[in-house]
Amino acid sequence: MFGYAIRRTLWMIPLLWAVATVTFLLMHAVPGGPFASEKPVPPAVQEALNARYNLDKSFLEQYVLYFWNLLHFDLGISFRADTEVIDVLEQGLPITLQLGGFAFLYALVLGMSLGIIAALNHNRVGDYLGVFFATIGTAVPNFVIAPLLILVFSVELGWTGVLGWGGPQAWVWQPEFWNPGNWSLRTMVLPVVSLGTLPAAYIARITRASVLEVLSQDYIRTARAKGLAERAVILRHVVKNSMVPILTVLGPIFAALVTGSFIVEQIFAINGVGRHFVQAVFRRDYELIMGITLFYALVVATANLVIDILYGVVDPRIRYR
Amino acid sequence: MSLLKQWRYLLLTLFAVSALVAVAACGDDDDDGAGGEITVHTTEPESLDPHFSDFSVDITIQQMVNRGLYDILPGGVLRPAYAAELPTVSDDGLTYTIPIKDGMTWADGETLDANDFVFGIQRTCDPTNAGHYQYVLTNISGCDDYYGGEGAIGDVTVSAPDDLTLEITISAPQATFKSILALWMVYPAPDESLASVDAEWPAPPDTPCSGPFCVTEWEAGDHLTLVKNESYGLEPKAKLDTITLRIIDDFTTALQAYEAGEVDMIRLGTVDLPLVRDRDDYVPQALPITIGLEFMLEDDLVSDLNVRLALSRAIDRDLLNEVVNANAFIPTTNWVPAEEPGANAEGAFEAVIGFDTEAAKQALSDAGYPGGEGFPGITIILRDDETNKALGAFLQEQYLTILGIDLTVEITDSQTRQERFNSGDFQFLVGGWGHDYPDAENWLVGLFETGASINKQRCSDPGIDAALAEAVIETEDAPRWALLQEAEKIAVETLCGYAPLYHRGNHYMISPDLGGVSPTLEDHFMPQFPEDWFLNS
Amino acid sequence: MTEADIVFRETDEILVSDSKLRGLWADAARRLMRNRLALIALVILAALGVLALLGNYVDEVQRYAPREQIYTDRLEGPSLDHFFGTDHLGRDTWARVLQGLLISLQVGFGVQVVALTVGLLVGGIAALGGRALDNLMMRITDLAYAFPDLLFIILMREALRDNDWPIVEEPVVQIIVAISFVGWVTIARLVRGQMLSLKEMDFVLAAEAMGAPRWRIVFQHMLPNTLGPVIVAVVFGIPLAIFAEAVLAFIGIGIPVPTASLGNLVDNGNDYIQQNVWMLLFPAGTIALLMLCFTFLGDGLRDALDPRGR
Repeated sequence: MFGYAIRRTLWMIPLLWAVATVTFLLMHAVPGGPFASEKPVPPAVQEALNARYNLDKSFLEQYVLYFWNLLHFDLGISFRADTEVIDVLEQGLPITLQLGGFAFLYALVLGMSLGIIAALNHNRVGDYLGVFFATIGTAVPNFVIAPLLILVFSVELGWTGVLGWGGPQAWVWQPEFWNPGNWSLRTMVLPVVSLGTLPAAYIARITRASVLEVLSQDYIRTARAKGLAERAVILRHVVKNSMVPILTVLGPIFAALVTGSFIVEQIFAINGVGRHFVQAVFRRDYELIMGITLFYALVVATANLVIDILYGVVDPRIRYR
Repeated sequence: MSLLKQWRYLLLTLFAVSALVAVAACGDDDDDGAGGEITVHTTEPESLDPHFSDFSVDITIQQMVNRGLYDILPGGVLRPAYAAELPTVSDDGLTYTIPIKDGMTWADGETLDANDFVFGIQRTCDPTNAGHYQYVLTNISGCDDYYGGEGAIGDVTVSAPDDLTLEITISAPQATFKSILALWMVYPAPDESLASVDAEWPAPPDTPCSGPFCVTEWEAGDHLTLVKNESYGLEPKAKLDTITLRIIDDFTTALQAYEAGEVDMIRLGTVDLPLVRDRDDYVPQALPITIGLEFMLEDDLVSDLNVRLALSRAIDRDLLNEVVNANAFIPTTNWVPAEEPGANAEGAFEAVIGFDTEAAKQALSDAGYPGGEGFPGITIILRDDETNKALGAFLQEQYLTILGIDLTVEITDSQTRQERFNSGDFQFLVGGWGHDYPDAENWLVGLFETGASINKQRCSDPGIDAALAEAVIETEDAPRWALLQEAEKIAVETLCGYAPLYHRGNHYMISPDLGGVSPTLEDHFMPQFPEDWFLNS
Repeated sequence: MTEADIVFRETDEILVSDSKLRGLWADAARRLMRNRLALIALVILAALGVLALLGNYVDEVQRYAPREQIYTDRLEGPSLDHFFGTDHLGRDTWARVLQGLLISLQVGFGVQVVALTVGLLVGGIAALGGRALDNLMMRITDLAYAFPDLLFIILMREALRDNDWPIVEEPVVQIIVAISFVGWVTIARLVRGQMLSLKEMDFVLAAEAMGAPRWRIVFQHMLPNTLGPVIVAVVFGIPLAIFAEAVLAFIGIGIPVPTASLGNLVDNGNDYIQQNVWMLLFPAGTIALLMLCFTFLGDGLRDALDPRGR
């Protein structure tokens, strides 16, 4: 198991290299340079701009140059505000991670609660209601939910905010993170709900299915027959044993939340990495595209790895070569 | 656990959460209020360097934190800013001497004098800086050569004989050169704190500041923070303490933020206009901007004047304005807005290129495609935004029903459109021009002469060339304007690149608490002169 | 299901395992019929499919051309004349939703066809081609897996749309290619996993011992047993593809004007949400209905095909 983990981790390096190369190729297959002007631009100006950003070098030269810099942990310079890619990431990551993290918690808590309640009331009202909410949640895309929520709760009722994230631009280990004055719940609510509802519904469905299966197992019947209180049955046996299928989807869900937040970020004008990526693609901001893609690939690969390892740990029947 | 109990727990949690939200809502009130702070809408700027930009958003912000020799007021009047008075021009019209006010400083205390203006002009002409607007200074000898990498910085004919006098020598007399002295590419640059002429313009909070506000922070994608400049030497001084420029890309989101009280002044997109038209806080603003169809005259199909006439005359500009732009703009067939000095009168070209279905059909027939038969189909490129999508669909329908031809609409992002435009890889698209200074010259020179630097539509007409060549050396206004009018007439009536559709304007929502906002004069994102703004409460 | 049917009939000739196979499919079909939710979903989907076809090729159903702009009828709500109302250019929303429905179904099925083909190929080669090929294929799937889906789709779409490469000129095809580039991985992994375990099973070994040729073993023994979970994955993948198209449209790189795709319609609807909320509700509702039905159908299929018969 340990060897497997090490091997998989080492394997991420060539993987990331491959991801970077494919991205590089794709980016340069897209026509249009990084400069858009509202008015016509004289050729002399165009040339000067190209020289400034190394765009007049050949494709191969740019490729080699990029990876050479990468080895020195230099991710390059973004066209936006001439800032370094690493700074853009540093600014946007805390926000995207916070958004993804809170949406994840919300999805987990809401999803599992709904799933457990529905399963415990199988084929009764509670079940139907739970399934109903869960299914609606999976069917409506977040870019439909978000504007409707904004319209009702922010514009009409004024209970919630419209713009931005509402959390501090700080990491967990920094003191600003723990200062309650830096958090604005009324701004955070809508983005978190918009982003987390679909995963919540998905988790609810899986939880319900898993709990139902566990409930039908013999050892549950035994525990009840032995006189164990219902609450203890649930807490001690049901929850623990139904976790495995849920665990396996949590990794991809978290990865999807972190890498898929750009729609919500766009709608709420949240200055996170997702929005930077979409804008970077449209602006042909090459260095920034590469930087963010590499980061996302890292997140996804790590999430997959963690889940595979967890799966192996939790289910002793699985053996890795 | 019974069902009732479970739902009770769930309800309790929901209630607790909403209570928290309510508490947080009460405790969190950071919209416009005491202390002279406001929040204003912007979209993402590209650069804070005035010697680099041509982007209207950039220039808007740069004019909040920088000032130059002069300001341009309504009617083209020059008001001295850091200049002590209007320039003295030598008899041959080639040398401009400008006195600089004494005792001026940058926000950080460094002296602001004529040397800084020399430095600024050199920065614009510097090839490493790659200033977008360098070509406006083409008349300053040595600037083009230096920019093209052929000359030396010393060849640029701008100097400071003493600390309070600026001297600029141009190669040919230019009546409009005074107006150019008010533009941002002539703004000063701090010659002491910048290491060299091609040094990067420092990022906030060290950005050089010569205006009523200074930019202390720029969080890309989120906001910029502007703070009152206490060392500002000019009048009037700023009244507000802080202006936060909130970056919001989507106009509908901006409106929602305004309604929720999070922003004090926003720009509106045309989509939301019908919702707010009747409100008191809605402020429309006409601008000297013309938008129209831009033709690539070297394309086989489009090079035929009759085809262009058909395409122009099949468009009902009033209907377009109503359906696509929610009556936000002013339909027109003039290229230069009629109020500009040297422009033709409004409607002068209506009979030649304006809406007329019969004439349009006739023109198409004259081109060899009666009723649209045999027409190979044509493509228009549009930048991706809501209004353009509606515009594309509108044009498709009109051309199909009136002319019987097939229009393909290519919606692309800005960068692709720009590249296609610059390389001439298009048949026609929608674009336009907004003036840099109020004179018809700015609308024609550089845009329509054969081979001119920004003549992307490849217009080439000897009549235009002759008229413009004469106009640039003419020093008297009246004959100069007559020549410009003649050039415009030929350019519009032969659709030598542009078929005007409408004059674009800006539409704002301004909070009743915010006073002193004067109308925009230029293609800026926000109104100018923020030093006049104040809070009513 | 078609492949399974063909196999179903041919197995009469094969000596091994035929009763097992026949039993599995018939059993599954019976279980599916009993699942009311899945049945209803299937019926609704069939109805939507018919409606999409009729709505784009039969004038009486379509009623207005999707691109026809009637400027006096702009931003209207539902009425007898315009069932779903009109949009900001006076176009009939009913006709446009129908057009969008057809396109979404095309994209959904198109993506899965491509994903199925590529997935079967890659997974099959991985399972049957020996250790080296297996490793190679798995590393390729790792690469595709590591790519954040939507990001890759966006890049792909941008690269395809601004270039004039042959075959992929049609925007719908471009979108299908872009989305299916990430969709085949799940199927490939499923196929490989299934086939790897099937390889060691008794009935396959028996067939080999009796001298049946390789290709026959694969197509008539292994493939039908692999198909169960693969079919489920395909059915679940269709709404994901539809959703991906909607996301592309939302960002602005969906199907070009004037064609209506459900994503385009939702995107427009969002802009006019305060002026005519119906522009948003009808296409959004259609997306929701499609996703729901495919999800229920997928659920039903999964339960029906699960040999443990829950």
